[in-house]
This record gives sequence, C-alpha cells and structure tokens, in this order.
Amino acid sequence: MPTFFVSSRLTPTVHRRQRLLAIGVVLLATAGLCVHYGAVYEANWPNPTADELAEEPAAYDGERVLLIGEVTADTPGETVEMELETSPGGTVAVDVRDTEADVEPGGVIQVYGSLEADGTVQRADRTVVVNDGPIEGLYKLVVSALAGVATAGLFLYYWRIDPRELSFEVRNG
Amino acid sequence: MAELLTHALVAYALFTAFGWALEWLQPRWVVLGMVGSLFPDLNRIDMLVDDYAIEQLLGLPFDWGAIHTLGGVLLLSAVGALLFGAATARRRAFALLVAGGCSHLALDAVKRWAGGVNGAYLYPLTWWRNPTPGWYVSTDRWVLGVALACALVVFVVDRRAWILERVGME
Repeated sequence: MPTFFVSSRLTPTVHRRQRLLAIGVVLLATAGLCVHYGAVYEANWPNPTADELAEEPAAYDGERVLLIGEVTADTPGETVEMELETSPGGTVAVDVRDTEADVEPGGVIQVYGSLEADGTVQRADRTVVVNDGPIEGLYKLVVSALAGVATAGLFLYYWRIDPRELSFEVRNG
Repeated sequence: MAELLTHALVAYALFTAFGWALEWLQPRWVVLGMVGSLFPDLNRIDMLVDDYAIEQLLGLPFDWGAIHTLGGVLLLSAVGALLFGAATARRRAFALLVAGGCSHLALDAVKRWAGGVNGAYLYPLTWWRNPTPGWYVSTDRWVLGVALACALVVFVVDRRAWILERVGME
C-alpha cells in the first residue's frame, strides 16, 4: 500500500509537510508520465501525425489512415477541405473526397481512408463529424466549464479548506 | 470527450446508487467521484499551455494526452487524496477519484471513431486500443439527455423520504 495512505501520528506541521512533499513527488511523476507519453506516442499511434505528414507528405500514399482536422471549406457532395495542425503551429491541408459530411468551416472531422497525391487527397471510407461547426466546439466548452463550476460548488458544500493544515475537512452542520 | 456535464451526472448517478449498498458512501464522497470524473479532460489544459511550448521549455517530448489515461487518473487521484488529512479520508477520496476517472474513460471508450478503434486509455499498462462500438459522438445531445434522466431518477429514489416529507407538508 502506498505510504501516503498510512496514518501519521506525527505533529500536525510535520504531517502537513509530509503531505505537501508527497504531492510534489506525485506531480513530478505526472509530468514524467506526460514526457514518456510524448516520447513514445508517435511510435504507438497507428496513423501519421500531422507532424509526420508535414515532414514526408508522400510517404503515406496508398495507406489507409485516420486523420483529424479542422474544416476550412465544404462543397456538399464533392469535397471537404481540412487542415491538420502541426505542433509548431503550422498546418497541413488535405482534400477529403467521397464523403457526404456536411460541415461548416471551423468544424472538426475524423476521416478514415487512403491518402494519395502526395498526401494532399484522402478518399474517405468513413467520416465522423466531431463538431459540425465552431458553435459545437464552443457548446462543449461552455457546458463543460459549467459542469466544472457546479461540481466545485457542490464539493465546497460538503468540504471546507483547513488553511492551517492545507487540507479538506468535512463541513459541520 | 463527452462534455463534462454528462460525465459528472453519470458519476453522480453511479456513486449515489452504490451508496445504497455501502453505508459510508455518503453524498460528500459521491461528490469526490464527480470530481474524479472531470480529471481525464484536464488534458485540455493544452488549450492554455500548448504541448509544444513545454517541449521547447524542457527540451523534452511532452504530451498532456497522458492525463486522459488510466495512469493519469491514478496520479491525479493520488494528488487529490493527499489533500485530505485523515488516513481514512485519503483512502476513500483516492478510491472515489479513481472510480470517477475510470467512469469517464469507460464512457469515452464507446464513442465513435472513424478508424473504429479508441485511444489507448490503459496507458501506461498497455497501448492496446479497444475496438469502439461507436455509440455516440460527443456533441450528440441525447447522451446528455440520458445522463440527465438517469441522474434525476437516482436523485428521486435517493431522496424519496425527503421529497415525500415536502409533498406531505403542503
């Protein structure tokens, strides 16, 4: 059982210091997890990332891949133009063909299908509309923020912060 | 992600119902399950602090995506649990935060993906990606509707004595 579960009979100050130290260690471990995840992600993602596609556009022609991009233009029934964002803030443009997706510019789609023409054209086998326009993305953000505030409020209804111990204590009454 | 309201409502319904069987699982602990159900989407901190900016700063690869996995949920839950002074409270908080985080990942695991497979949510244990049944996309309003209905039913059953008392007083 991890040590932080074990009851401490030390004085409150030492107890607090131990807890804060443990929090620091776990936060460092979390950062470490993000570093490791970032280091091995590409090797474990079965599709080209936007960065990989930007680096070697032709390398994936003929392959069936999953791409996720923001729609820049949609001519219904013909083609959807999307942009994939690379990490340094650049973009890769891909024309999606054979899709019935009806999406406003600013929407987000996932496309599974084969790439051609130096990675600039993707023939869709399947398209999933994540957001059908920028409003949808905003909707999710606002509703999520409200849920966060409501949950925090509910939490503080049952718990209070003990400023001396830097911990949460049950609210009495 | 389904939006967070759905996740919080599902956690409320789930853990309140568990509370009918577990005496100690009072509303103050249920709310910790709800907090835990928000944890995986803390990866969206990338909208404020970009992965690439951190990579440049550290000179190391970095991806907030790790938060939206089992490993991320376990670590954040440990941080949350350590904010409780008493040993029993820490254990309970940890259990509920992890359970809440896992309920979020489980709900996300059945979402629609064009490639038919999900994110690797069991990282760092494995990079296995579950085939997804594709039941919904995160903007589907019916998912929120179902979550609201479940939460309402559980609320009414859970507070029936309190509600009947109120009705009886009129």
